Amino acid sequence: MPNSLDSAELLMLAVGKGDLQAFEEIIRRHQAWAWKIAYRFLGHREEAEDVVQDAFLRLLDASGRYRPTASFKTYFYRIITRLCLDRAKKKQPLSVETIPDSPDPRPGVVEEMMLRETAVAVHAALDALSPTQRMAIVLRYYEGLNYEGIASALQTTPKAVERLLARARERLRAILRARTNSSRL
Amino acid sequence: MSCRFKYRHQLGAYLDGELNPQESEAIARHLADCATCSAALEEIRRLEPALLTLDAPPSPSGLTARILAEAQGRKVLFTPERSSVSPRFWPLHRWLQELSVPMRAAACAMVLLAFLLGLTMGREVSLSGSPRGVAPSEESLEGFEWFSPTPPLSLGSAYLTMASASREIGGVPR
Repeated sequence: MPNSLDSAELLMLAVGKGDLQAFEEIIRRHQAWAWKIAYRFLGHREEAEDVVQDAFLRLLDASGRYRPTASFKTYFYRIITRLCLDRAKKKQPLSVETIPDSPDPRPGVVEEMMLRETAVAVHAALDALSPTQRMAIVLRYYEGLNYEGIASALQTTPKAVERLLARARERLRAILRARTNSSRL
Repeated sequence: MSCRFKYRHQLGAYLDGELNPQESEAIARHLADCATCSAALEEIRRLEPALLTLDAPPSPSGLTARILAEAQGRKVLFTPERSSVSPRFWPLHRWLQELSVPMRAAACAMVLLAFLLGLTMGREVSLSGSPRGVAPSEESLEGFEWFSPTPPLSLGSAYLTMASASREIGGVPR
């Protein structure tokens, strides 16, 4: 139970009482990071959009039963993580085309191209991971969660998260190393 | 070239600051002498800037509006009272909410009538099924009168004979 109820928990309790304005405020505050997790994990715009929409609607459905035994963000991380992992079971491989283009051509176009190539390679490397390894990487590197936070989101233990990250990093290193070696040939 | 250092799989956790002091110290000492593990640690360290080249585009415009539209569509179903009801019962709950008060009373009365009818019929069947229509107040000690007559020379009739005899010995009138 959080030591003191943050405004997000209070908003959720209000949603549970039928306050749709409170629900809109929750969406406004948390949509951006929810979207980033879903997109980085799934790599597909439309699927990420579906997951984010489902996640918020699940919040709405469960709001009457919501009790702030953990922080709201922890609670929502679990929902998004679970939806992403379920989606990964039936999703298409990551689409390289979904990597966003640079909006403006700037001086240093070579550097831009290299960054884009790296992003493509990273995208492909992430796709080679198992769903839980990929989610552990997303939560660690993009959300900055510690092992306890990742464990809570994945509903596992910190030790299991340590092993997940170790295997994921091993695989990422191998893939990116192979790419670096092949680009030198 | 590989290293058999027992904490080699925890280099990432070491970098993340997630190890206990004993483990961290052991790794730090080892790294001072092991080029293989030092190189591996450096590769893990370089993962972060590589991973951070992967940015996410802004969330789609109109996503909030679509979520709210869907939520509004559920508003008919979503009421404070119903939010405590399991979603599987929402269609029944909605049907009850849409009935007028007299109709709700009539529905409840029908359910109650069906319940009482079933209870009454059940009692009649059980009574008519007992031998010679024995009423519940005449229930015997053994309870065998509730069922069909005990066949002669059966274990049941032997037990009944013994039970009757023991009651007569005890002076309990039948």
